[in-house]
Amino acid sequence: MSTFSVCFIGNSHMVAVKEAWTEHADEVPSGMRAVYFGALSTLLKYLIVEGEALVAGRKTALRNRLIQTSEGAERIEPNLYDAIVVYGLAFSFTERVHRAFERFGTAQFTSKKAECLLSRACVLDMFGSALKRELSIRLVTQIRTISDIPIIVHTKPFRPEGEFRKEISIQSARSSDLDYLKGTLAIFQEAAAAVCAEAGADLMWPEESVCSAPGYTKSEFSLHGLRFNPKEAKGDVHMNKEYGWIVLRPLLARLAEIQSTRKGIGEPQSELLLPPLLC
Amino acid sequence: MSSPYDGLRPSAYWKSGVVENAPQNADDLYAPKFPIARSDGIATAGSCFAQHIARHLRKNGFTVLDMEPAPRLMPDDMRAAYGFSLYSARYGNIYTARHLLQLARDAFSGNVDASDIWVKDGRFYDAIRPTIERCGFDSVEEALAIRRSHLEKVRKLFETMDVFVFTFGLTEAWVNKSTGRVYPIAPGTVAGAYDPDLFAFINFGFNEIRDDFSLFRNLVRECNPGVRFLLTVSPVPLTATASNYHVLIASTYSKSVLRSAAGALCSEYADIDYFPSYEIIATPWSRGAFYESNLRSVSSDGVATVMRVFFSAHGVQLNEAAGGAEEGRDRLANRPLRERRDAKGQKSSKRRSKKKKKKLKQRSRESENEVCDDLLLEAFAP
Repeated sequence: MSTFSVCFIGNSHMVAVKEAWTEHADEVPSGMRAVYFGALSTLLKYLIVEGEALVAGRKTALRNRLIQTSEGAERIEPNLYDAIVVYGLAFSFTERVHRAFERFGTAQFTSKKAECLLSRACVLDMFGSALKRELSIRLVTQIRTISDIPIIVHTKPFRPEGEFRKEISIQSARSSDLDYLKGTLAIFQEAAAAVCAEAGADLMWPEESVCSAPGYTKSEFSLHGLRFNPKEAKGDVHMNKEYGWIVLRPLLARLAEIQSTRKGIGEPQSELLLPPLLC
Repeated sequence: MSSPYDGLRPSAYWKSGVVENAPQNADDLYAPKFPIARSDGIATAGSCFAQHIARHLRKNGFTVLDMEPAPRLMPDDMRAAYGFSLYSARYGNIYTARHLLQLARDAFSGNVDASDIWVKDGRFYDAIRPTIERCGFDSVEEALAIRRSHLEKVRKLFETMDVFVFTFGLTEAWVNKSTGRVYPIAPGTVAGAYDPDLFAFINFGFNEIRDDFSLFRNLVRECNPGVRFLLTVSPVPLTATASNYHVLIASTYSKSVLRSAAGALCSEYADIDYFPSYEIIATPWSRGAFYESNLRSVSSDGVATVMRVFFSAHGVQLNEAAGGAEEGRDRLANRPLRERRDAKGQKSSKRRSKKKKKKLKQRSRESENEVCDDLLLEAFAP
């Protein structure tokens, strides 16, 4: 079987997936191999296009991280791979989204604090406009200038369950309203999918099974969370190998699909993930 | 032998009032009936020209009310496309007095009507404010829910405003024959379909306009007795007419009737004032200098001059950061000089002209920000 090489570009969240890949190597489709280019998001933003590659430019720290994590390569050359996964840089469903929804409502859900009601299309447009500025989309756009390789954007892990509990105690009961969380997350995901599709990438989210509530990750996955430097591991933001494997399985399935069909750029993996752009 | 025209102030004579005076000195053009302070809660509405008024009032520190502010997350360049920050609520352009009266009645009754929701390509548009949702709504239910919420905000606006600035835009409109509902734009333009059995063209006359605005005034004063009204007439000619007359004739009729109605209302009520933005832009006063090359859009200089007259009459020191107003005056004042300069040949340096181009570009961008539904009619021109 021919090889199928996957280039991962990501931040410290990628480590959980990398470790899971190594541990479950025998379950990875045969011939599939991965190369990782990892650095802090604050460094990855300095990647620039040079010829047919993404490079660190003058940012030595970034260059060193790329060499270290990829085991020798300092240039990310998309056309050397069969697919690219931009991992962990995108679409954090954070308290900012909750705060935004405090100020406005939709016909489906609103609050007393809401200053006005907005249409779903308007909310999608507004979120889309903000999400377009995210690093992952910038990277996809950069890659698209030099390659038509399939790109998958895999989002950050949702926030840890601990934060959910804190919010419930501090904020309104609204934060604990699961229907509300589900509704806001759905509209946020729809906006993100549209932005990704427009940029020319597929979008994948963590499976529901890792969530304790819509938009929050079960606390068990934060135990022994992984980062580039194990000594730095602290807090519950980073996920462990178990989480990595749960996330990796559908990712591998999608990569295998690309491998078998060589499906085109940015084509949807399912109708659900890519709603039609409204206008 | 004496004449009643003896010894009048210079502004009473065309020669001294206009020919020798305009457009540098506009101070005599407007004497406010009542003061408007920066602390007064001002609501704005009307045809697209009114958007300029709201913007300049805000820039110069006036309290322009906004009952439906844009969410913070929404970038500035998206706001106009969703009807935010144009007026004091998301009602879009209100061209006719009948439309304004209908809005007030809806706001106080909470009435929403599903027949006002028009369809296009599977999306749903609020025909009363067709351009506030660039992609339309998902469903009739969503459109009506958001309209209900909007009407609540409008009611609060009418109850709390101190001054209501309204710009009359058109006499022409379209009505639903069975419901009598009036629309700012013809069915089939943004959405819906034109069916002559369902919709009719209407060209409002003087009495209807005066009466509609009087009814609006009375309705608002029931819950807000201290409110004052400032009327203007948009100097922007019609983009198209459905009246069967030449568009120039139709436009002149429309503006004349609106101007007359505004004048009559101003004479009749102590709480209604008229501000002559129409005269400053559209009459020989400006020598045509305030229209863009399409002979329709008002230039930034024109808007700036209008606002300078307004602010000056209200004793307001202009906010320099607001830009435009002072420049507008200077540009106007220099017009004869420019003519002299043309005769003498090139006088200005390259650098100056570059700067000027940059400024003009910036101003024309500002002018582009204006959202006019009726511009859509241009798409139907041969």
